Amino acid sequence: MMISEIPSVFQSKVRLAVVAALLTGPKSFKSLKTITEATDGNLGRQLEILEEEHIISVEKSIAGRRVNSTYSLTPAGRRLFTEYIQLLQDLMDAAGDACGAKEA
Amino acid sequence: MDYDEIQRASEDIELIKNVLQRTTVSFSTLQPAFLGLATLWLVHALLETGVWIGTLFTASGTPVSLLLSACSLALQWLFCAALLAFTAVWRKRVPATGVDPLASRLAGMWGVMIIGYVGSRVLELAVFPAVFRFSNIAIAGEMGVSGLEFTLCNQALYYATTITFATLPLLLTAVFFRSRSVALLGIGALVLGLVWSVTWIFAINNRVPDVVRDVGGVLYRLLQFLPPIALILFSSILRKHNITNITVLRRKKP
Repeated sequence: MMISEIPSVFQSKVRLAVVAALLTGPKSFKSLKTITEATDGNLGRQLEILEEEHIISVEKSIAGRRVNSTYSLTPAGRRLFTEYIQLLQDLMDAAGDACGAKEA
Repeated sequence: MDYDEIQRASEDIELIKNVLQRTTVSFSTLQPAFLGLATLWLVHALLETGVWIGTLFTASGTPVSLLLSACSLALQWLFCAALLAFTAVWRKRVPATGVDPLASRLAGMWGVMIIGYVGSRVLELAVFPAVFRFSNIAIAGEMGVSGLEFTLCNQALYYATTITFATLPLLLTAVFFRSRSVALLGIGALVLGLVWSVTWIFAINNRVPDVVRDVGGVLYRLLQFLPPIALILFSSILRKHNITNITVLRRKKP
């Protein structure tokens, strides 16, 4: 993956935070709201985008009168996110090398 | 590559790191449980070794030797019960989600190892004496089964489980953490265990001198100390690296 090929799903901080949070296991809407500190409307929209791109999947269960949504990362989403992290690391390594060469 | 790209990459890395720190249940919080288990195991190994040394200096058939045998038996049953109780309490403390999958697998590995170890001890304490008694009675001969062969098969099974469950945690920990020193310790333990089992299989038939049999006994005692050593190594590795670092440790370097 090149820097120019960053998937659009990772170009939003809220979406990036959601995917990073789901890396450690499924989370509810409420947990994701606490982690991302986003508003209900914004978080709902970002989750929809991630779902449309098949990065995350949602499981709905009914508890009394409430519908609980649990979000989890899909295998494709996990793979894409791993590639993105690798790209970030490569970029930082290259920047470090460039700084070293400049100093020398 | 321009400054904006580096700035963005740096911000994204920081954001991911913050989220992971907030959402990952650090497996190193379970480190005290591993240390507790190591202490329990170590105390048991020391007590059992003490009883064994006592039997070396006591004539068989005396009240003292009978008392030592009873103590050894009680210690082993108590230890099995304590291990199972410890595992049950520990399982409750491991969160269902939010733990790195690798860490969950490591916890599972220890769970299987403990249950396997207890199983091998139950074989030794309950099944083996029963089979030994059975092999000594005439019915074994009537069935066409040699009492000695029966005993050897039973012992071989017990030896295999003991060696496996004493060395497996060391070897698996070495593979997970890519640690050469732990791997060497595990392989060394496996070799010791095999030497011990072969020595004792021959000892049953009185083909080996007493000295070799005693060396076998010492090797067996050493084997008892390996699981607590593995536990201490495991907990010290957990203390040094949080779970994200463990995942990084396992990643292949280019």
